[in-house]
Amino acid sequence: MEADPMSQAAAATHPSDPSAVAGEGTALLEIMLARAQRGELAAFRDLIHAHQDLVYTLALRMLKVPEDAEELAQDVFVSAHRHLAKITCAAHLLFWLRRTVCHRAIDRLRRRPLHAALPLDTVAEVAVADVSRDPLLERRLQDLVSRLPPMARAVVLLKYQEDLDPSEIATTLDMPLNTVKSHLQRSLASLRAGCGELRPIVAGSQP
Amino acid sequence: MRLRSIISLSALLALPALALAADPGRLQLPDFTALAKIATQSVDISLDPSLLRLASGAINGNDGGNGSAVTGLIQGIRGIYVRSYTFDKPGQYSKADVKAVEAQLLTPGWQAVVSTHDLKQGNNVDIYIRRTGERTDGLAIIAADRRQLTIVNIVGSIDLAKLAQLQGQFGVPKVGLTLGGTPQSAASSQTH
Amino acid sequence: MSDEFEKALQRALRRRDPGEDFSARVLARLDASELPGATADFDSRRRSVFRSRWLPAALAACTIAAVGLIQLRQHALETARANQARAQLLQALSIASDNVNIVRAAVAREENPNS
Repeated sequence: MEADPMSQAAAATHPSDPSAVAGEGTALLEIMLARAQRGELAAFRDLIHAHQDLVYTLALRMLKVPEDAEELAQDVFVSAHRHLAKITCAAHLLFWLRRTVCHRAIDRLRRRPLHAALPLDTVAEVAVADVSRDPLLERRLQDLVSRLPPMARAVVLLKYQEDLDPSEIATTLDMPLNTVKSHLQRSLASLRAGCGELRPIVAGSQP
Repeated sequence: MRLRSIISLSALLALPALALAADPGRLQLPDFTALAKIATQSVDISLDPSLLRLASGAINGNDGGNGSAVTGLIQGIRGIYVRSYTFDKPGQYSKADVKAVEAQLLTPGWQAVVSTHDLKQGNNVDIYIRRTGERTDGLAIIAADRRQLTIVNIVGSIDLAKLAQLQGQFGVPKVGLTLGGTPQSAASSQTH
Repeated sequence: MSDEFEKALQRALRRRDPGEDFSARVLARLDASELPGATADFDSRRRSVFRSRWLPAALAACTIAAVGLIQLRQHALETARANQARAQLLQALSIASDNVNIVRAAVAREENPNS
């Protein structure tokens, strides 16, 4: 499923990203984008700097292998450079990058699955050696997220890594809103269940 | 021949006056290249009426409902000019750098609206308005503290209250906060 | 999103830096995509086009495409110019707004020194 990121529909309906649009640096991003669109490579390099963490981390969490993530992240930026003229604003670029890296990662996973994903309804409990330290919980969570099915994984990453709301996730992934909510609910339940002895502190509200 | 020379000379001398008459709210901003070279961050914006129209069209297309607040605000503006320089230590610019601008603000038509001077912080902000009768021709802001000099000239009329409210809203970022939390280099933040 | 588990999940999924040279690697790939190998292919295809009986139609199509590309390029340049003007306008308004608010705050403090 290769996205058609330059479709008018995509450009018209991309959600605003509060962290990028209303926050600091928006005007600078717009200026960088305009310069990059004029062909200034230095400005495009600045755009890469601004967004490389986002793109690389999404790729890494989807594909799990750093080399594959590096290759995908580079692909996404090379493609962005080719399509720069059709980007309308900084928020559109952000939307385009998230959408492209998720779609391409899902495509790659479908073509050659790298690791078996655990079905959501059969998550085995695993004992955790030392449950009192956050770093272990975080590592456990990273591992559990990496085992989610591709679409569910993408939903969880866009929610908890990128802080998008469900409607933004639905637009990014071309997915019905109810499906997004369903993925979130089930994924969160499986992640909670997968934290073993940490269950007393992880019981909480639904997404 | 002599009469023709006199007429030509008179026409030449009248040109600056004509220009000023056409845009009485427009300040003649000095060349701040020297300051830009030593500043850690510089902003140099010159938007004449044609660029303002271009910008206004782009705002309508991209910013949805909030864009109308911005386009409404700039409806009476014929130009907007900004020179802003941030330095890494105090004393990098002098009063002489702004004298040429201040001298224009002392000419008839311009009046100081409000000033704030904070001796502790070294902050000074002066706002001037130029009027011709009931009509507002321009606005000037000079903001000077130990590490920053900012001059804003808005040609035309603008609602100061609405301008103040615009801060931080969608599409109008708060300045002073740079991308990634680190100051941008002069080269990357300079705009033309 | 309020409970501790979701906060822990956010922390676990924080972004990572791909490294200092990432942008350089991307830019190197941009350079590599402009290799002259493609030109040689284009030359051999061009020769066969000249010999083709479809030459007039092909030339007409190329002309139309070229005009279209020029127009697209022009439109892209105009769009970029407009976006740059927009960014500059927003930045200028932001700077002006900031300074107006500094003055407003100072005046408010003077009028209400005890607040």
